[in-house]
Parts: sequence; C-alpha cells; structure tokens
Amino acid sequence: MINLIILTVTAILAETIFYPFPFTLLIVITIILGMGYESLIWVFLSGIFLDIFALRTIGLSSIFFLILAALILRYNRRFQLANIIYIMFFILIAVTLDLLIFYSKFLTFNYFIISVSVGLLLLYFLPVIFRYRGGRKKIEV
Amino acid sequence: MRKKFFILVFLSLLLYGFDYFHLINVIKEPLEPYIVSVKKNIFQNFSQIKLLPKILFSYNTLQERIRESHKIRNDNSQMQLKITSLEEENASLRRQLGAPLPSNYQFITSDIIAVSRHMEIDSGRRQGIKPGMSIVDGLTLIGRVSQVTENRSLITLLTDRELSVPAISNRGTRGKVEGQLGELVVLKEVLQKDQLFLDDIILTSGEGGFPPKLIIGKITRIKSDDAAVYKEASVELFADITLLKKIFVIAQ
Repeated sequence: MINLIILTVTAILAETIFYPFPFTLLIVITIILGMGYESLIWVFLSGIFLDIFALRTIGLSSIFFLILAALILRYNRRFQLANIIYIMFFILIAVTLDLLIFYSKFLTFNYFIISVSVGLLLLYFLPVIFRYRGGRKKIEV
Repeated sequence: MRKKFFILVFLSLLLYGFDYFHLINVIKEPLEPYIVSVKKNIFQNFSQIKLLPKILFSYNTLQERIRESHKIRNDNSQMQLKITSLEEENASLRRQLGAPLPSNYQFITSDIIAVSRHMEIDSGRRQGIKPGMSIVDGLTLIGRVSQVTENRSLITLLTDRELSVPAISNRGTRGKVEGQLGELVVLKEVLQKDQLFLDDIILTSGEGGFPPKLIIGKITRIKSDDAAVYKEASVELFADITLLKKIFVIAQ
C-alpha cells in the first residue's frame, strides 16, 4: 500500500511542479493493471488530488482516469503482461489524449521516449509494486 | 463493481459541476496554504531537476554547450565569485526596480511554486492579483495571469497556444506572437510587404491588454510563401523560465 501512495504522490508532484507530462496517468494505468476492479477508488482519488494540485476543475482528471479504467477492465483479457505491445500501444494513446486535453501538446519524440521508458519500467516493477497483495494474482506474467 | 464505477463517475461529475460554479471553494481555500507551502518548498529546493530532461535530450549539443559555458565562465569569473543565492534574489529585485518601465506601474513580487504547462505562483486574489495581468522579469514578458484563487495564480506562458500577444518588431513590423502545440513560439499575421529579418527583436505592441515595449524574443527563422497573405517567423524567447524563481506581476 505504501508503495502505491509514494508512487502516486511522486507522480502528482512531478507532473504539477516540474514537467508537463502525465506521470500520474501512467501510475494510474499501472494501478488498474495491478489491482483490477479494486483500483477504482485509487483511480478516483488520484484524479481528485491531481486536480487539486494542478488547479484544474476538480473531477476532470477523475472522469478521464475512470473512463480509462473502464476500458482496461472491459478488455482485461488483452491487458496481460505477456501482451506488452498491446499495453504500450494503449499507454501511448492514453498519454496522447491526456497531453492534448490537459496540456494542449502533441506526443512529440521526447514524450514518446518518456512514455515508453516509464511505462516499461512500471510494468517491469509491477509485481514488486503489488507485493502487498499476498500473492493474489490479477495478471498472468 | 459496475455500480461502484458509476457511483464514482457520478461523484466526479458532481464535483466537477460544483467546482465549475465555485461552490466548493469553502473546502478548497483552506487547503491552499498547505499546497502552496509543499509546492514552493519542492520547487525552490529541487529546481535543478527541471534541467534533467534538457540535458538528456540535448546530449548531442552538450559538448558545444560545455565549451560555451567555459568561455562564459572565464569571462565572468570575477562576477560569479560574488553571486550567492541571496544576491541573486536581490539582483532580480534591483533589476525590476531599475527596468525603464513607466513609473505608474505597480509590481507584485511572487515566488514561483511550479512550472508545468502553466506557471504557478504563490500570490492570488488576497495579494491583489487579477486575471489578465502581465507577468515580467525585468523588461522581459513571461506570460499572463489566467486563473486566480485566494492564494495561488496560474500563468499562461508565451509558449501556450491559448495566449496570443500583439507584437511589434524593432523595425516596426506588426504581428501576433502565439504558442504552438509543443515548445515553439511563432510570430504570425505579418504582411508580406513588411520587413522582417533574422535577429529582429520582438516587443509587445501595447495592444490586447499587454503593456507596451516589453521584450518577447528574437526572430530565428522566417517562413515566407509568396502566395500567402501573411508570413510567419519562429521566435526564440528571451525568458528562460527554467532559471527563474521569482517573477513580477504588473498591477497597473
């Protein structure tokens, strides 16, 4: 649990203080992949805190994150770690949308590299991040 | 689970609606001093982190930049010895006071607490900041206040496509400076007949609510198509927001 809090808070701070890139979105996708349906509250709260810190209208990010959660959970069979290309493709689309909606930017080469590297890093450490779940597997590796 | 999902979406929409009509300011405003304090501390103490992506992505030109920085360091070695963080802050204040802006201008000094898509400062309505006010560092235009709460303000930067600044070059050529999707800033709506050269200095024209003669940047590339009504030029901004910690709001 503590891993998730640290990751989410770091992502929110990094995104709202230092660099206009949706780090929180990547963490949220990781949480959805790791926790399945139980992640909805996390997703909702992450969005609320992000909006409060970024001075956006509260609720906007939550709606976006919840829609993503719905998509991932609806097609959860395709979202297996073995199907890494599919997940990365989804991450890139989500990042592009987030950049366009919240930052008015396109997915440039820099953003592409950051998305892919941070995405892969998070997916690689997914089992470590969700260690607290006591071996309950939501994702087949 | 579906029920839970719809409840959360409904809750988000409800919060969005309430916040849109400023109905939850009673809850938001007491939180602001804490958020400002957290963001300010992190931004002011870890501002070097912002340079990391620049270093990574400009690795090719790094050698050249190191050589340039050595040259600059040698040229300014005496001056650099004197610089401490306190002197830096004093210098920025002195620079602002010494800037040849009209004497009826009043400034509100603010600390930067975040720079993401927008710049965020630790002053708001309470300090007298209103949407539309211009932000400067010395004579250089940084952006414009777009959103204000009790203790925080969001500044739309010149790189943002939402901001359009009526501008004039040092040769008298008029146009509009606008941000693009990305980090580019362009001078648009310049008539084909008007003179525009590389390294021309671009200033605010005094229209659109911006004070006149604030420096924006210089022309680095000119895109001209004889068939088009207007020509365009890329503008390199003089303001390097990654190095700023303090800015000034013009409260005329």
